[in-house]
This record gives sequence, structure tokens and C-alpha cells, in this order.
Amino acid sequence: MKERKERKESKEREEGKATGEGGRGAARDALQGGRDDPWTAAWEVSRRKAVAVVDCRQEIPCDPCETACRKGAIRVGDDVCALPISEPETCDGCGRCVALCPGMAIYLIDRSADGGKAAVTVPYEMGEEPRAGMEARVVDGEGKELGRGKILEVRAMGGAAATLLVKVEVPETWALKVRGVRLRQMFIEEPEEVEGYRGTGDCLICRCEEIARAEVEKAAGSGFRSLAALRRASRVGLGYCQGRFCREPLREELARKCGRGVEELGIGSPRPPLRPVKISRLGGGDVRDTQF
Amino acid sequence: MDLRVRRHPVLGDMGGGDEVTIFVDGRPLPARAGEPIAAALYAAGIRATRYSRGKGEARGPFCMVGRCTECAMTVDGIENVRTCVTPVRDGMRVDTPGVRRHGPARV
Repeated sequence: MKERKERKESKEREEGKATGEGGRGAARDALQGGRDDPWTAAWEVSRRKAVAVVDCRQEIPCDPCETACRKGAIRVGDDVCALPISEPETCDGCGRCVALCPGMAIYLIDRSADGGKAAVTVPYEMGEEPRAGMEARVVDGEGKELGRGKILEVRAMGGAAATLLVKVEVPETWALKVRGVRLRQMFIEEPEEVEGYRGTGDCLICRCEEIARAEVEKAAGSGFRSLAALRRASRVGLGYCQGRFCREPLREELARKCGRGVEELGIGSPRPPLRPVKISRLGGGDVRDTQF
Repeated sequence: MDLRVRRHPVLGDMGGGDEVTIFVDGRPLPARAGEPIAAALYAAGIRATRYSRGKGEARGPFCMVGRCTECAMTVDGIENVRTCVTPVRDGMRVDTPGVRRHGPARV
């Protein structure tokens, strides 16, 4: 395992590909004239015209933005997992990338109108029909409401007609913060809002055996040096799901407390069956019966 | 309460199977043929699928892909059935395991 990792790293070195953030950051700097972040250039250009801002943080195999752009202003390159790099000067603000990015990670900003206002165009895929003139709640990347903005324009692009492009007027200072608009309140109550219910406290690490973080920390700090020992002592990871959800936080906590590495601790001793099955199935029952 | 998505903003009309009836703790509940038991419960606003064995806390579907077992209920008398990966069947009996000792009666 370790050898394989070393081989991979040395291969990447030979190909001149740096691991981690450095490599892509450097490429981005070169293409954007040495600016420190992808938004600085877009921000400056947006004083004159509408321009796409690419807020993509997912290094996943995905590149529709590259082909969406008819001006060639967005490039992903040969490594399909690379983050896209945009060229704001070349961008004509058409919005095709905004409509076609599956992650809804691209939007347009336009600060060309004076008066401390910016027009931000975001994708919208919820059921309600937004219309020009309506007031919308404007939210940031975490869904937190920044305030309200007036919808200036709503349009659809061919090829992605179900995704509407909503242009909303906001104070200029929000231009780089806006990531979406909402027309109504969320209708599902969060459990925390249920009156009088606070649960029994701390967050759960092991959901099946009901073992909270504080208990795991205490158990992990009492001298155990292996996952198996910690499990036997606390029952953490021995419930219904057999550690499928708690194994990682458990490993990390134990590694911190006992001074061994996460890799060194291993993953315990998983045994078949991989999925829960009925005992009768092991004893020759109907194999089409997938319940347990 | 019905939280089913009938018309998806991007995928369009969702259709859905024929209506069937399941019995949750003895009470009839309409469901759509082919949907998982947990989906039928969730669509009806039922969030608690079991009460934990130790503390008696309400638990509900967490991973929705059959791994976490938080949604395990008693189905037609069989215990620990993962309701998020088990389709409904007309006349199915679904019972909530465990006893509530904390929190609201039905979330």
C-alpha cells in the first residue's frame, strides 16, 4: 500500500505534476496574470461588462463549462478533474456556462451600472416561476440570507431550458457573495426547532450503540492502542451498522489519543457478509430474498 | 401532509406507481407502489422510524442507502428491516420498534 503510494508520487513528480493545491494554483496564476485568486480579474472586468465568475471547488471529472463557452473563455484542460480557469476579458457574459454547470457553481456579475449596485445572474431550478419585478431573498453559498434583491430579468438558455437564469439587483458589496435566490421559505422544519426537544446532548459518533463524542474521547484516552480493544470496551462500532458510519471518526479520535497513526491503526477486522442478510439465507433459504 | 415531488423542476413530471396502503403501527397510510417504505413515511411527515434501545431517543432515516440502519423497522413481523431500501407492498405492516423515553411522541 505504502509502496504503491510512493510509486504514484514519484510518477507525478516525473510528469512535472505537483501534488496538492500548489500545481493548480500555479497554473491559475500563470493564466490569470499572476493574480492571487480567480475572482480578482472578474471583479475588475465586471466594472465594464457582465462577466462569468467560476466558483468551482470540486476536483471531480466534470467539464461542461469548457464546452458551454463559445468564446473559449473557460478551460479545464487535459486533466478532466482540474478546476476550470476562466478568462474574464474574453467572456462575453452570455450565461451559457451558468445554465450548463451541473453544480450551479458559475454566475455572472455586472457592475457597469452606477449607483453602488451590481446585477448578479444565478441559476434557478426550483419549481416556482420567478418573474422580473419580483422581490427575491438573496442567499450566499451556505444558504444564509444576505437580504432582498429585485429580479431584473429571467431567461432560459437552449439546451438547459429547465434551468432559469435569474438576474437580481443587489448592493455592489454583495456581488461576490451571492450564490442563489429563493422565492419562499423552506417548508421542512429542522429537528432543532421542535419545541422542547434537545436530545440527550453531544453529537453521536456511534449511532447504533448511542455513544456520544465525549464518551468516545474518554474511552479512547484511557490507554487503548487498537480499534478492537476500544470496541470491546465501549461497544462503539459493534451495533446494527457494524461500524460503517463511525469507523472513520473513531479511528481519528483513537489516533489522536494513543499517538499512533490512522494508517497504522488499520480498519479493524471486518468480516463477511458485507451486507446484512437473513440467517435463513446462509442456511440455504431463498437467495432472492434480499431482506435481512 | 404530502411531501412527494410530483413535478420536478428539472426532471419534469415524476409520475409514480399505483396507490397502495401500508399499515404503520396499525394506522393505514397511502403509499406509491415501488417506493421505499421510508419514502412513504417521510412523504407523510413521519420522521421517527424507531426509538433507540438504550436511551429511547427518536431516530429517523439518515443515509437513505441501506448502510446506517437508522431506519430499521419491524416489517410484517420481521425485525430490523432497512425501510429505506425495502419497497412497499399493499397491505404491508410496518411497526416502530423501541420505546420513547426522550423527545416528542412522533417527530
